[in-house]
Amino acid sequence: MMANILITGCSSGFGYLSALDLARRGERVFATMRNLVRGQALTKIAISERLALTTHTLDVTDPMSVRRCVAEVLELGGKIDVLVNNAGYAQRGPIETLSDEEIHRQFDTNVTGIMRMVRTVVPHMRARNAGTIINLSSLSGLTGVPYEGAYSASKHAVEAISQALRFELAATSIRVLLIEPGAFETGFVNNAPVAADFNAAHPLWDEYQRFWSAAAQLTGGSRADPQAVVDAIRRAVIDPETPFRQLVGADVEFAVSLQEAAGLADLGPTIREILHLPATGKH
Amino acid sequence: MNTHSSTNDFPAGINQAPHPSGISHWPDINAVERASKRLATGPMPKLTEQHNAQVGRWFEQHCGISKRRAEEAKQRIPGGVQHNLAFNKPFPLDIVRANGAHLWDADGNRYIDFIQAGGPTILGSNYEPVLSKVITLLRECGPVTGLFHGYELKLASLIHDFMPSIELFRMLGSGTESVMAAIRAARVFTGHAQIVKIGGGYHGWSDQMVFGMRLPGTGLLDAAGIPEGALSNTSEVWPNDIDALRKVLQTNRERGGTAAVIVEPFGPESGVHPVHIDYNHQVRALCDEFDALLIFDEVVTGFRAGLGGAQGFFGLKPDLTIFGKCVAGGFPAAGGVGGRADVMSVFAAGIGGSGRRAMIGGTLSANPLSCAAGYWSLLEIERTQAPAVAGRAGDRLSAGLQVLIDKYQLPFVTYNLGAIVHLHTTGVLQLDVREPGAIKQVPHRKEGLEDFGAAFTAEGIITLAGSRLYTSLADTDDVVDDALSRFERVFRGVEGAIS
Repeated sequence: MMANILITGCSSGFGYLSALDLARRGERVFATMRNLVRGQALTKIAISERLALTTHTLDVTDPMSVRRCVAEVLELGGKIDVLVNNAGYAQRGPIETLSDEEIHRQFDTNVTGIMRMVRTVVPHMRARNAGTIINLSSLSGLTGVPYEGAYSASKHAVEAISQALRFELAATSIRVLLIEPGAFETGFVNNAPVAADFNAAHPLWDEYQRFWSAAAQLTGGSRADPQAVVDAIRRAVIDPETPFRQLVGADVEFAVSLQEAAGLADLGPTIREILHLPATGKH
Repeated sequence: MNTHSSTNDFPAGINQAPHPSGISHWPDINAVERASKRLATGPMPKLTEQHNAQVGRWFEQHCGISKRRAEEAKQRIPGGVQHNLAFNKPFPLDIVRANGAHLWDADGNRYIDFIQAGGPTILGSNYEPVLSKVITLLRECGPVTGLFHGYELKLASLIHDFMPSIELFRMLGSGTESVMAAIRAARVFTGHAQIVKIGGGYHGWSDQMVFGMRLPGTGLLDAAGIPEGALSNTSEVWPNDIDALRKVLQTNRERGGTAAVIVEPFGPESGVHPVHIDYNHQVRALCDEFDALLIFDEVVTGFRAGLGGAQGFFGLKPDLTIFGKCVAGGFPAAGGVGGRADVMSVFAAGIGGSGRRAMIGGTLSANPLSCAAGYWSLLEIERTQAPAVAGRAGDRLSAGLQVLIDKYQLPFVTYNLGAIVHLHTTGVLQLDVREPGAIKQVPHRKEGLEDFGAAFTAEGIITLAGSRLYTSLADTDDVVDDALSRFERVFRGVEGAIS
């Protein structure tokens, strides 16, 4: 049977790709985004391929927008079977350079945004005792990634929220699932703002550049095709046996196996060595 | 697909061993990988119903005694069979005689022997010059005394002459035991616990090694009856993926370090996934970087690849080397571990008798029978240049199979690493378990392979698990050509074969 699927953040990246993927396998997709103008490409494809896909305005940082959008989707579709909390971005820059405003915006979108969606959608799912909530976390949700400290903190929060929510919904038939992608070619990095106060005069500037080019080596080249994440989302939608966590990408698997091996010990020195960054001074 | 576009223009340092290796050329590994992938992802080749029926009739008409014995054996032996190497479809044959290149069953049928006891009998079966020395020894002191015998020293010295990396040698009862001993020694010597193997590799059946067996990426799949804890310090990496090995070594460092990387030097399962010619050198370098020992499992390549083993061919010194059945020329209770004196000394309570000792034992280990058989076999292998002769037979066999594969336009894959010939018909060992649905193909493709194994047998050819052909000194051109004409009769019976 066709499922009604609401996906946040569909103007690009995993949201865009997943919306098409799920619609093409016959699901009813409500593709949402902050700025509807950026949904024209999706709408065009939907019309030409006769897909059950419509685009809707949704700003997860605006409670009114969330309420309006969910009401609209329920009116059109009668129910929401699947909520994919995909909207998010990465605030970059060393911790010491981030402004209150930058930190707040990061958490408002990536963390509070998901909680607003949950608060608005779960009561409907509870009423039907059915539904699936898929939260897009990240490699950064499993280990603290340098120069992405705020983003890592927000994704750690997504991990914690997902664990708590799963526990709280255990008595219902509502599933809560996590997906942890590594780095993929989706334009995500181009959409990642860098802290306004971080510039070439900062002592970490050079290492920052070297870190990202070295880290890119860990994705395993061909594995960085975002299709793997699209497949994971599809699996979470259609396969009741899907595990709570899906780690997607060679870099995530490696980072998680390193962290598991290290237990609670600091992985920093190992990561520095793997990325050929100079060893740290004394702590 | 022709996988014979290979190199005999070896890189510097390769194939320079003083004793001629059996390797005249190295296959084009990329071509083998492409052909293997095509075989495993395409429709499974199978025999026509008509041919399968013909095979069934052959066994009914020619193997009455074997069939009866197999039925009786089921009453007293689990499954009626105690050997993993051959397929037993439709039933195991009762082999009563072996000589040179041939085997005979209880019904009087003769077969060309490409199983060669799983590898050790590079001189051919039941080789008379060794047999007579062994009989003399047995008359003198019987098979075992539990005490030292001069042949132990003679054998260890001879192995050192052929493989200089074997400074000290400890004889044991089997390859499985030898792997257990080598891992224990590596752990005592390095103080590290982790062991890394290559996915698909076979290093015997001890608890810690039943991991990623036969098919890379299968992890604990075959580990029934083994507590997970016994395997918690074992990892597998994808064949030929040196980056993956580096990542596992980095990860293991967080777990206190890697004791050893163990490899079959030609690639897992005797080269089902053959290595790139520089792969072992890269593994050696990584082991040095991460303070891990390199263990070569030369149970099959030890003396089949040449008297210097695979290490002689590659011009590499592993820290430890595993020997199996080959070390006694196929006589019973044979295996051993050898290598660097400082590492091997942990079996003797460390250098100077202090330090912690790695416990090993076995009453029948290093018995006079095994040692004498090994000693005289090695001398005969040297005198006859058996690896080179058997390697040439392997070249002729694989090249001939390729001609037949092309003639009938089959997707089969053949290549040879000297006297180790691969013939893959259904692609079961080439399945990539990372691909969705691949694991579900295993039973079906294994059954298909068993049909091929039975068809080869009905044409008078015994193979190793339907997919490998070990050649020997006894495989003259006439034997190989006879085999090829028998293979052709099976290939003609494949669905869709064109000629």
